[in-house]
Amino acid sequence: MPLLLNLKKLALISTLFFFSVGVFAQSYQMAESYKYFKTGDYVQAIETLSKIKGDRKMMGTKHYLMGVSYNKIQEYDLASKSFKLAIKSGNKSRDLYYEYGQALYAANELSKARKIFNESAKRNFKKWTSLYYVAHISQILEEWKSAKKYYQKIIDSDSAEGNILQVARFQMGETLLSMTRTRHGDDKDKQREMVGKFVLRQFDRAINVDQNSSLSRDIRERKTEVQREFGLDPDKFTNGRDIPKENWDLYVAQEFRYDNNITFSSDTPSVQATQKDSNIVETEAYVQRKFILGRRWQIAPEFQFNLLYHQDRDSSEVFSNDQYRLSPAIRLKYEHKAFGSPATILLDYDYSYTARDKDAIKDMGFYASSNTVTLGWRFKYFSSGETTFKVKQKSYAAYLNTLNNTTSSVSFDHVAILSTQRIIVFFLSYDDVAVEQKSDSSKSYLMRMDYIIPGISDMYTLDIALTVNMVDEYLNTSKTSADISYAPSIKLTKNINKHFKLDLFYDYTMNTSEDTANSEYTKHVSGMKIKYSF
Amino acid sequence: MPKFKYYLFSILLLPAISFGAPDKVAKVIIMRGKVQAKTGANDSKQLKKGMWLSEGTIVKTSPKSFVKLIFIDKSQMNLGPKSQMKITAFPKKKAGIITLMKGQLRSKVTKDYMGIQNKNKSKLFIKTKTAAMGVRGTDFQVNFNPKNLTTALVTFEGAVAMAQLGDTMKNLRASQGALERMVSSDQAVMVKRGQYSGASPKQLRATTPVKINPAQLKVMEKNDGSQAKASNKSKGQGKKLGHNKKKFRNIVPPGMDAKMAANTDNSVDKVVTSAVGSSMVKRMDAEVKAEQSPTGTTPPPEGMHNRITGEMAPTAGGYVDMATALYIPPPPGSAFDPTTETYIPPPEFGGFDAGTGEYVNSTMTLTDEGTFVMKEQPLIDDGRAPASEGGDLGEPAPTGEPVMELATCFDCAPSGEIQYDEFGNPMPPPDQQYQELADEAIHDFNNDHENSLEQNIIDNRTRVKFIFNAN
Repeated sequence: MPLLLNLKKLALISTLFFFSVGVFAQSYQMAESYKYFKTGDYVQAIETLSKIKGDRKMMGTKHYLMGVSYNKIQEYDLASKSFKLAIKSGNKSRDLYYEYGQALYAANELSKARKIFNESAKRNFKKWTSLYYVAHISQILEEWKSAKKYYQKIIDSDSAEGNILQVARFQMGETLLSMTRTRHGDDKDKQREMVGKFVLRQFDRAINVDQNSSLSRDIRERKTEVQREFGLDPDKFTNGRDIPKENWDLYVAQEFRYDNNITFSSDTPSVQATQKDSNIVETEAYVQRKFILGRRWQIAPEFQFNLLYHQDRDSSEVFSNDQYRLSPAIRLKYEHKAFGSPATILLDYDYSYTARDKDAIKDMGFYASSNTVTLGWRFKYFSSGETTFKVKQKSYAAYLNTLNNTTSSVSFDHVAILSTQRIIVFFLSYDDVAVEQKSDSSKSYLMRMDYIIPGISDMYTLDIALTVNMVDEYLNTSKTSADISYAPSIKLTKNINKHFKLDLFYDYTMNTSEDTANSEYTKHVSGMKIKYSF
Repeated sequence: MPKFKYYLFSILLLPAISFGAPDKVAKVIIMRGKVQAKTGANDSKQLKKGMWLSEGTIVKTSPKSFVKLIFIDKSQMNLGPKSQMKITAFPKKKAGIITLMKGQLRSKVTKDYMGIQNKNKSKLFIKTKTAAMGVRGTDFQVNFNPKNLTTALVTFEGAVAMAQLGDTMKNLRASQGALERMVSSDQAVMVKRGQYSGASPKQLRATTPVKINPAQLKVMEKNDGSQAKASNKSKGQGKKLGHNKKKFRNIVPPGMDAKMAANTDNSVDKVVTSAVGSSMVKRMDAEVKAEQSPTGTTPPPEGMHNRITGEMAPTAGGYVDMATALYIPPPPGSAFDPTTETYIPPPEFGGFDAGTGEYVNSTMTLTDEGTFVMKEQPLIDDGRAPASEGGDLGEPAPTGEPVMELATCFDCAPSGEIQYDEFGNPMPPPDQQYQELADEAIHDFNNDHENSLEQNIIDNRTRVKFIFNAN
């Protein structure tokens, strides 16, 4: 009997011993995995934890710690499973629901994640962040009302601060934007109104939470994007075109050129002797002030002054061309959309007063004045660039009634921006010049093409152009065909600095005519122009 | 046990080293695959275990090959696959100089050896085309990529001083004095346990050391370079980390501060304490503290950039790609791990092989230039979704297309901001600039055209007069 008792005792002691050893071994493994966890060796921590078998509490700890470790190595599906087991095992860790919610959120189990985050918020663990997840998940699930409700909770709370408040305000704006789009469908005006009243206001308030945060930068960018989409960008016209940054445009320019045939004298040997050449100096000053009205209209009064002076003071045919011109104008633009792109209606009124040394007395007096009205439309129909149509009426009153005329013009230009960042400009124009003395009346057809290469060595722009002009004097029956002039030209522009710009140019003109003796000529003009912009 | 074997081997080797020929400085102790040694212009031989190498020898390993050398000062160096190094100098009384020409070099110096001399002086120098390193630690790894001239250094134990070599310095004949001056200058950085620093011609100086991904560090530390083949061992549940085929959403919602989303609670400590008792937890905490040597002043985990001094620290927690020698910083929006104070790169930024520690990415290839190129369908949409986006999974980028660049500038202006010309003037968008140029050309030409129309009338009149006169 005592032996039996002793055996029982021994069995009990052995059981207790082995149990204690087992418990100690599990505790040691748990502690070891804790150490791995603390050093960031999450893989080893998981491996050590997976070997632990113990009571409910130990298993709860094991699964919780495994879940957190899986979250750290972004194995979110495995993390979710572990957290689920941890909850089943009765783990009471404060952050359990928050970590579980994050795992579900990352694994795209959004409805479940929302429930779990709600639970985390109820348990007061990272309450505002948990609620933010709830709101954000609702937003992803396009449950706008729910999203709005939870964002509003965060906004109204006294304890939510910093980034969470800022991002909640921002996302509230996004939610309101989505609601606006859903509710007001195709009603763009209503959408614009709602965006201006509510969405942008939320963005502004979000920015004001912390103007220097990186999120503020994101919000500003987003605000601009939304403003552009709804035509509310203060830096843009309602059609999306940029509003000029400068209200004033002011420059002076000085040009020096050499013209080998000022008199347009024929190249035929008999007439060639009458060709006169000269250096020419031209001074130009220009000022324009732009007024923007209602982000649709632009009114720009301007004034230009030109003075032309010929260096040859001996030949009256040359210096009689000395002149100055005063040209005030007013330009009106109306911005709108056409063909899905920004478009502009143009209305210009130009007045010009020209004084000239017409009598070759080295004194300039009134020569002519003109009034021009131009109506145009610039739009983007072709993907390559913008196109402009213009009709123009010009009435010209000269010191001699016989020179008085009215010019009616139609012009078309198209600017093609190539993928190589080169520009081609096509220009077509038809001008009908009706002179009081009808025999001087003419029709002219003009075609010009410019090939512009900008950004050569960052500072240079090269413009190569060809102009073909056909002038038909329709009452001059002595000619059966029109005069045609061909004028290739080249211009190199250098941006010297912020204000100075230098042009070097060369123009060649060859005019062909039936009347070879009087109208056929060639002409070379070369020179430079320096421009100072204020 | 392997450590013990190692020390025993070293002790047995000592007499051989001491009585070896005077110019012999290193002996091959472990070798795998094809390794060549070149001592002169035409003197190239296949290395074998037990062979001795002298100063000036160039050692070159083939793919999947590896060699471990023990030097006369007992320091060991493991040259990884597809690597090349030169024993530039290895005098008995001065610090040795090793030039890493390409590939990977893992160096282990015994602690005893480190105790012999002044701890503030380098005991060994490693040089690449772009960096000089003065070894003051005991265990570290250097990778050099000759294609992008990038040097990456990761220290596992102790410290290594690192300085970037500028254009003028990289071809200088290396001497101990010159190298010591470089690694002791104020331009040098001290890379401690768990930290990475890099040097490349793209930057002004060696990057301020930052912690690399702690999990990758652990695996790299265990692999001395001999594990060249990708492992399928049980680490990471029998797969490569970062190879999870499931699509996961970034844990940090767009716009939210990663630190705000991070769980900074000490619940883990509490739960484990309640399970194993506070004494055991305290003991483990003490062990963790001892293991994590103090790193001194460290940059914030988000990284920093001082434009004046050129100091730059990438975001902490990134992976080191040994093949390109590039550091892959976690992008903005990455989750923050408060335990290790590092950011966790999102899954599409790859992971590492659980056996070798090599950086792996199943969806994208990282080029030498630091561009990620799509391999196949992406797993995840948003590494860093714009704050306005809900983080919905987006359209995959086409295969072979570059999809993103590694961050090399930490406070650059974001795209979409106003660009300035060379004179500091704000530039309109390109289309508008071109339109303005065209408008100017049209305006100039229109003036000329007006003048020519006017001239026509004058010409006509002159001609008419002429005709009358002729009559």
